[in-house]
Amino acid sequence: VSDGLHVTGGYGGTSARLEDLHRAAAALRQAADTLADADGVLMVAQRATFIGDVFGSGAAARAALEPVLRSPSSPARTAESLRGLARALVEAASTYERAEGSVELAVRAVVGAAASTLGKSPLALLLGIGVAAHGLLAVGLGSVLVRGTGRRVDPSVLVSSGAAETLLYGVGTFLRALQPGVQGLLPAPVGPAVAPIGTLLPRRPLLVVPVLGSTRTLAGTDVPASDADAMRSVSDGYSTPGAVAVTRLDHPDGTRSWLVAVPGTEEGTVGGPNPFDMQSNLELLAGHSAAASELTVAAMEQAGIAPGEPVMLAGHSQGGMTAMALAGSVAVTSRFAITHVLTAGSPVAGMSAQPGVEDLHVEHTTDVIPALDGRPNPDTRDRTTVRRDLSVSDDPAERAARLSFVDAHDVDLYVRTLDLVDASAGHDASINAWQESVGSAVFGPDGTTAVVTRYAGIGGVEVATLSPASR
Amino acid sequence: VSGALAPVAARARGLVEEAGRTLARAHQVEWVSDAADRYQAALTEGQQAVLRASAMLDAAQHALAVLDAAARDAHADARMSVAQRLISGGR
Repeated sequence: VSDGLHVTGGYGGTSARLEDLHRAAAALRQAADTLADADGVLMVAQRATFIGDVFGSGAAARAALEPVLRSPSSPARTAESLRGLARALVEAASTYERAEGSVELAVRAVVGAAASTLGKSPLALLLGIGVAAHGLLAVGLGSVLVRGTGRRVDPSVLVSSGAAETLLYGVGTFLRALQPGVQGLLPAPVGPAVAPIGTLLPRRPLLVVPVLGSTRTLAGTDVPASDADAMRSVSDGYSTPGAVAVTRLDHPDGTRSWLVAVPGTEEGTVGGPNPFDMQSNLELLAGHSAAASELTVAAMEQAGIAPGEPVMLAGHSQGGMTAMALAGSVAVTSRFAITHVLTAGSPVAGMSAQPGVEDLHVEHTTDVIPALDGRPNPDTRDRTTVRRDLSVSDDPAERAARLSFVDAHDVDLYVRTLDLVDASAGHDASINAWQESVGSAVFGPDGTTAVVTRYAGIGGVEVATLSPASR
Repeated sequence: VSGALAPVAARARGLVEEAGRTLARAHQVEWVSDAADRYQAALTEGQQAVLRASAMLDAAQHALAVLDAAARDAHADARMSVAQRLISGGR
């Protein structure tokens, strides 16, 4: 795909293709078994020709069966050749599976083993401090190099090359190894590594209310009709701190679908009134319930989403993590028909949605936030990841944004990236399949209208419940 | 043997045709490479072999049906002849 977009996973991804090959091999084996059954039936018929009039009608029947049984195209020989083809197909798929990511897996194995050994060592903390000190020293030497030579080291290369992700994988494995008991290597260790911190954070009560005057009816081009539009809704949500936007889409045939837009981190604090804070980040990364998730579910309930009505969750940064956490929850998906999840700049590789939910993840190659999970997103039929290299953009401002960790994570830049993604559907099977699916289930046909309402969450506010005696 | 082999051949032919339908599913692979081309060629050859086997079974089934009918007629003639002899002897 052009425009610096690189697509992995989804309908046209490696995993889906390998599934195709294994399915084809199974069909070949099944066909071979059926032909073997046919051969068995013919052998029974041939044996029957030796009963009774062996030289008269028996001989004539044998002569009739002879061409089928002796031909190179006999059921038995064809079955054998199909079995050979099935074996070759499985071997080709296995070779591909082994080759796919083998170098990356080898590097991760070395990093994981080293980090785990370090973490289990009696001098683990000392070694950890030593490694961190060397890291700081490297940064310091880099600064000296910049002053001495005038040549600037580009830190974004650390992210785009995958080095930062591998480094975080090592740090996550090291932190897990510090925890008591035997800690095996995990493909996504960052979440479990921060899980103990998540349990230390106090749960905060949350009051969720509709934002007064926020309800608006949308028509024409204002109605969300694309992935970029969905992310625009997320971007607009930042103007009302601590709130999610729920858009009801009314289709011309009378059916309804919903778009829930969840913003990212808005406060760098812990335990404050805004649910989109660092506490929610840590809780989501650790796989715990977060105020951001509770706000989103409460908003969906108050909006009146009925069971079976398709819901698309769209989120930026922490909002994407919130969306994936909800789509992965049996309790939530049994109440709401979450069909699609769209994330932008979110570290969601360690999270997974329930089966049947389709996900589209968009990441800029130099955005460090999606790399915080320490591993690339899984390549499965339901999960498509689009990574965009901003360095090949036609827009000088976008090329410059590549060098800034803050700008590369900007939600409006992700909206522009999604415009490109939407335009590239004709060139990529995975994006095309996603667009067809989300278009029919959520966005609906021309003539669809929409009503949007924002719901705000206020952390730390106890809601007094009246006991029957006090009424 | 008589009167029994054509249905057996028809059963074998049904199985071969079922195998052909199963093979059509193996064609549904969105895989593009030289190896994929070789796979599709081998699969097409497999399908043609199945079609040839089906055609040969068709011919065998027809031949066996003729033999089965002839055997049935011969049995009927023999039964008639025995009956006539018994009737003649009875007089």
